[in-house]
Order: sequence, then structure tokens, then C-alpha cells
Amino acid sequence: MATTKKLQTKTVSVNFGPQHPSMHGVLFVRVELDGELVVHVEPHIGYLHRSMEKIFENSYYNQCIAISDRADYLGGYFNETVIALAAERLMEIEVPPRAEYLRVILMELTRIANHIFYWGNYGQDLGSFWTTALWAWREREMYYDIVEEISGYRQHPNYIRIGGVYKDTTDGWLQKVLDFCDEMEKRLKIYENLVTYNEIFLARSKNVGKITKKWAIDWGITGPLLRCAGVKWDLRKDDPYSVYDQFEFDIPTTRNGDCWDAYRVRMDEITESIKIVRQAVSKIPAGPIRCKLPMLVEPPKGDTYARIEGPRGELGCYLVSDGSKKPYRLKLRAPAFVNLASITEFLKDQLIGDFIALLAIYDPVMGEVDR
Amino acid sequence: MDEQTLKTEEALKSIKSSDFKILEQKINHGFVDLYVDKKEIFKALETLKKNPSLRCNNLHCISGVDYVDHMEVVYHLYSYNLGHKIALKARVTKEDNELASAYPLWKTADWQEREIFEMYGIKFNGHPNLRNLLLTDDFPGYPLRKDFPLANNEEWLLEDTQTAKDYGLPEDLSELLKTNVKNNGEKKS
Amino acid sequence: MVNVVRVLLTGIAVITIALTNVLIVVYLERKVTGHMQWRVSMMRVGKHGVLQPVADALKLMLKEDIVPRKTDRFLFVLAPFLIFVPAYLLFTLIPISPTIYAKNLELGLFFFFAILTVMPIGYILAGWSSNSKYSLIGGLRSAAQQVSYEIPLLLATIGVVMISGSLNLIKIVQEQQGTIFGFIPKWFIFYQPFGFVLFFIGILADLNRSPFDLPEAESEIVAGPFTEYSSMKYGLFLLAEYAALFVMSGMIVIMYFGGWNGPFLPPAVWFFIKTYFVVWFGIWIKATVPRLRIDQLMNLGWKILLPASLLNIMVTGLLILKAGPR
Repeated sequence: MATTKKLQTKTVSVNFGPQHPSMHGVLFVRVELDGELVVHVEPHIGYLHRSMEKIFENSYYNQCIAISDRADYLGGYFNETVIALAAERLMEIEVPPRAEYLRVILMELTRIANHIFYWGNYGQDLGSFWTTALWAWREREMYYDIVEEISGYRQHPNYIRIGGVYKDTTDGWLQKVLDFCDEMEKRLKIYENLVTYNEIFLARSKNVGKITKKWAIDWGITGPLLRCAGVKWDLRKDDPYSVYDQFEFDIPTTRNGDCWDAYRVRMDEITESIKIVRQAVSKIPAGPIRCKLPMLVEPPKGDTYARIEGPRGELGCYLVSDGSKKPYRLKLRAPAFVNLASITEFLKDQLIGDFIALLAIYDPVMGEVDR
Repeated sequence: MDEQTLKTEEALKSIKSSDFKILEQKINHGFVDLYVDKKEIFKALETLKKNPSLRCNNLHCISGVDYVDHMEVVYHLYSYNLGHKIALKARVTKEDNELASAYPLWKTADWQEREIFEMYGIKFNGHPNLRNLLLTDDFPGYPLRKDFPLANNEEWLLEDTQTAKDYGLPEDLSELLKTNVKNNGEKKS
Repeated sequence: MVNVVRVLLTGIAVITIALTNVLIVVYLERKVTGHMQWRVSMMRVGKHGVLQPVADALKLMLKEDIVPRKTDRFLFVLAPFLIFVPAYLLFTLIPISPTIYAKNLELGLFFFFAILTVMPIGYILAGWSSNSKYSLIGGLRSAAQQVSYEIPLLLATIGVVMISGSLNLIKIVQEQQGTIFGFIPKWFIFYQPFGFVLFFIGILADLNRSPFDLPEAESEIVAGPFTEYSSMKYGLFLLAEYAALFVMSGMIVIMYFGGWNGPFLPPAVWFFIKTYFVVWFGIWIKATVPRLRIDQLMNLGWKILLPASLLNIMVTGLLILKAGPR
């Protein structure tokens, strides 16, 4: 007999970011909370926008390569390679095989380092108090040592050139790479023991979020997120570039599309990358590492689109050249940018704890998103 | 001229002129470039997505380019099943700068079209939320156009209407600016 | 007159012992966590960072004390005290050895947990009065969590009370003297292993420690109910949290690990060794596992731990009945 007038509740509007202790960079997400449930998600990006594309139009190609490192700052080699691939396709030149192999080795090493970094951040976001994050940074130190030896820089390498790479390997570098692979395998076992089958970790990741195939293709999601939804798609196998067709490796795919699967796909990709690096090191031919090209390159007039499989998805470069020494339009299609657009739908109707975990599987690098 | 582009050209022959009119078609480094009139862009995208011999279900990149007398919007499409690579281009001009949005077909057009809007000033009709994405909401001008300068955008310099006296500084600042470093900072031997 | 002096001196002694141990716990937490993360933690201030907690305390005292404008000022200032005072009051109840204690009440155990349950009020008030959404969310989470986990906590202690037959803390320790079969000490953990597990989980949740540190979840809501606190108010929170950790570890040692019983060494030393072992175990858990989500936490507390603790009481009762009077 009591009338049930609907209890008026108001939603609380909370800002996550742009500065926050979880390590995703300057991402600002404004959420409306109804208790612990997220009702509305509104991302605001652009805090790291540096007008890279305008700068590209005013720089020579070598300068563009140096600047593009800063886009995906965790995976320097990928950005450089994609611009070099686009320019080489326009100019229709062939890169010497030793340079291709070196590019592949460095890209796969960077992929390993990226996925380890994701592992560290994922544990930290779920609350294991920086343990995983600091262990991940320790692995990255080993990677930085290798990379510093060949390119001179740790983080922004500026190593790939149009027509090849910058410098040849030093003595013993290839052995160091193999040692890194062995060490990485040993440590992966330790990491899997610590985190992967931990009860709490499973409880926080299994059945949290669901990416379906149709939804992922609709939103243009590529990379590990697409593979965890069940689409076996990897540009290294399905649209091969460089010398990837000469290596044997698998594409790990899972079916459920939850946090656990995204984690699993990335961990398995590390194993596959180690395989590729080992094969590349054993097969690398001797020879020149660079085409004979002038320092300021002049691709002919035209436009092309080149894409590679970056650690977050399809990294593409749309290059329009007007025959001069500077690109007329160089657009980087950043995978994190395209993937991140989907959080308005994906993160709705989740609890806050799940919200953080799901944001972590996007693995956004704000340099790439904002450029 | 590899076999994939031949297959794509073969498949493109199945497009009737009632769907949309291809103004120009050429092969461009592995992609098939199609030029369409901007009024038909939505029909073109829809046909390319739904036509059973084309089935381009992946729109992976939308870019804008500013050629000085006109601007172009380039849609790069790919088919997961059949492997077609198509680049669809539409021309707009500064005065006549409206296009239909691809959002109803692919949600991935959301942020990419917003970025083109704020950088080039091309409006997309039918977009749910067309406002600035990377730049501030009140940013003047369209940065990636060719007539926008790279630096020294004077509208953004803050005007300082107070004189030195209002800050408590002397009118002639040269005394303050003298430093104590002698010999241009070289060490005295 | 002498009574007042005696009370004052006892109070000062308790506070001194408490603060010293808390500083050691603060140091241990950072150092142990650091070593588990394959890094050395503090090395500069004093040899191996031993004076770091002192430096941190000084820093906190000298910082600017900011009270945000729109807060409920009285509650804002009151909240740290509501957490600090109970935590340090508990130090008066635990006996370090048969002769060193501040007060030995006949209802020691009962009084202990009665004071412990005042602490959640402080968390709620801190979250509410800060006038910030992060704090409010943190405070509410903390309230829900602490209240739900106190029930299995208290029910688990009933097992110990049934075996020892008394609520007096000294008597509980004395019941654990001697050995079974000659070499296994007669600690209650061997009589009540299940109860120990329940008690330990309840402690971690009551103290807002990992894996139940949802109210202070760093990556989600900055610092939870303490976001707006600065300077010594924040210092009081930290001191209270570590004091509670120490004193609850002491309680675990008294109830389950035999208190001060042990060969060769004086009883007080055994007590501290065992307590620090339990503290180290808590730090180990904090550095290793991620945190639970709020609904999983509540699930665990109400659907799993509560029936388990009731089951524990029943089974203990049956076994006591079967074993006969002791």
C-alpha cells in the first residue's frame, strides 16, 4: 500500500585524468557514475597534440623520420619503418636484404618490450602495487642496452633511413640479441607464475568486457584487441611487407574478447616475436645496409598508403608527395587513436574496477593518439 | 599490377551506374583509386561495403589533403574476406565543403572525421558529435590547410596591457638586464 | 597522587613503544616491498635508509596544512583522530610478556575488538567531509568493506575463546604453553587453522590493506578518503594505519602463535620476533597480489567468509565436546 515513487538519484561526474597515477599518459576521461556503475563515458584527448603532421609538411624526409619517433614513443622503430616503407614504395626502390632483416629484428624486439610494458602496467592498474611495473622496467633496461648499442639512442632511435638503416651492427650484437631472447624466455616463465594463474588476477580479468567480431570491425579496431575477439588477422601474414614472409610464426588468437584474452594474446605474441628474432638472426645475410640515395630524398609525384603491424594495431602512413624534398602530406594512422574512439561504447555499464582494467587493455600511448 | 588489383578491377565492373558514378579509376601502388563526386560519397561507401563481390568491411583510414585550389578526402577501404584495397577520393572546395558522414556505416569514422573537421574545416553531415577533438574548442582557423602558418600565430599571443611601471619596474630596463658575468662568461685565467 | 603519575608514565611508555615500532614497520614496508620488486628501496638517509621514516615524519610535520574551503571543518579535523586514537589505544591492551603490559582486563579480547570497530567511522567521516568525489567514493567503499569483514573477524575469534575458555589475553597466551607430542608447540594455530585463515583475511580487509585496498586504490581514485589531507593530518592516518597493522599482528601472535612462549630467549623478544614475522607476511601479500573489485570483495565477505566462520564455530564446538573437559 505504500506507493513506490521512483527514488531520485543523481549521477556523479568524475574526472579521470589528465594526470592520474595509472600510467597511461595524459588521457582525460570524464565519467558519470551511478554508485559504482559507469553510465556515460566522454574521452577528451589532445593534451599531447604537437601538430606533428604540420611539422612533417615543413621538414625533409630524414627529419620526418626523426620527428615521427615521438609519435609512438614506446615503439620508435615502427613509426620510422612505416614512413620509410611508404617513401620506398613511391620511389619503387628495393631495400637491401640485410637492412630488411635488421629492421625486422629491431621491430620485433620493440614489440617484445612494448608487450612487457603492457604487462607491467596491467598489473599495476589492477592493484599489485607496482611490483609488475618495476619488473617490466627491468626487462626494458635490457632492451634499451641492446638498442643503444646499435642506434645510439635508447628511446627515440632515429635509425631507419629511406632505403635502409643507418649503421651496421657492432661485433657481438647479434649474440647479445640471442642472449636477450633466452633471458626473456626464462623471465616469461617467472612472470606467468606470478600473475597469470593468480586467483585474484583471473577474477578481475575473466569475463570482464566482451569484444565481439562485428563490433570490433565496425569500430576499426586492429591489433591484439581484434585478435582477442576471434579475428585471425595480422598484417605480417595477411598483407606481408618487408621480409616477414620468410619467417615461420603463429598468430595467437582467442575467442572470448575479454580482458583475460587480451592479456593472453599479448603474452603469446612475445613468444612468437622471440621465434621471429631467432630465425632472423640465424638467416641474416651479409651485404650493404643502405641504398645509394641522396641525403635529401625526392620521391616522385603521387600518393600511397603503407601499413605495418605495430604493437597496438595497424600503423599506417598516407604519403602524398609533390616531387619536392618535403612531403606534401604525411598522415600517420595511429592504431591507438582509432582503437581509443571505441571507449565511449565499450566502457559503459561497467563497474569502476572493470573500467580501469578495460582501459588498460587498450594500451594507449598518448603520443600516438594525439600526435 | 599484381593479381589482387586485377581482381579488384574485375569486381569493380559489377558496379552499376545507378549505384554511383566513378569519375576516374586508376591503379596506384597496390591500391585502386576511385574518384567520386562528393554528393555521391555516401552511396559509394555503402555500395562498396554491401556489394557481395566487393565487401569492403574495413574502413581503416580517412585522411584529408589540401591541394591549394581544392581539398580531398581519401577513404582507404579494405576487404577482410576478399582482399580488395580501394582508395576512394572525393573533392571538396573551401566554399562548398560539406560531405556526408560515414558514421552510419562504420563507427570508426567518428574520431577520424572529427579530426578532419578541425584541421581542414570540412563538415560531415550526419555525424553525431562534430566538434574539435585534438584542439581546444575555440581554436581559430584550420591548421592543416596550406594557408595556415606553421608558427607565429599572432592571435594566440597574450596581450599585455600593463606598463612596466604597473609591475613596479623602472621604465628603462637596461640596468636590470646587465649581468655580473664578465668576459662573456669565460673563466678568468 | 601516585596513581596519576603512574598512569601518566604508563601512557608515555605505551606511546613510546608504539611509535618506535610503527617507525620500524614503516621502514620495513618500504624496504621489503623494494626488495621484492628487485630494487633497493632507501639508501641515503642513514645507513641503508634507517633514518628515512624519521625524515618523513619531520617532512610531514613541516608541511603546509591545507583545509579545503568547502569542507565540513569540524569533521574534517576530527576524522584523523577517530582513526589514530583507537589504533594507539589498542597498544595498552596487548601484553608483551607476562609482566610487561599496560592493563590486563578480564574482558581484554572483547574490549580490543570493540575499540577496533570505531575505526571505520573515521574513514567514513574523512571521505564525507572532504567534499570531493574521489574521497566520497573511497569513504563509502571503505565503510562497506570494513563493516562487512568485521563480522567474520569476530566470529573467528570465538573459536579461540572456546578453546582457551577465557577472554583474558594473558590467560589465552598461558593456555598455549607446553607442547603436543613433545615438539609441536601448543599454539592455537594448530587447533584452529581455518579460524586463523579467516582471521587473517578479516584483518587485511579491516585495515584496508592489499588485496583489499580498494578505498585507497591508487590507480583509480588517487588516495581515496585521504585525498584532501595534508601535513600532519595525513601523517596521523599513516601512523594509525601502520599502528593498526602492528597491533593486529600482535593480536594474531597472542591468539594463534603462542604469544611470548618460546625457549631460550626472554618472552618479550619472542613476542616481537613473532609479530614482525606476521607483519612481514602482510607486506609480502601487499607486494604480490592485485586488488579485488568491490563486488567480488563483498561476495567474498558475505557469501563465503561468514558461513565459513559460522562453520568454524560449530566444528570447534563439536570437537571440544568430543575431547571432553581439559
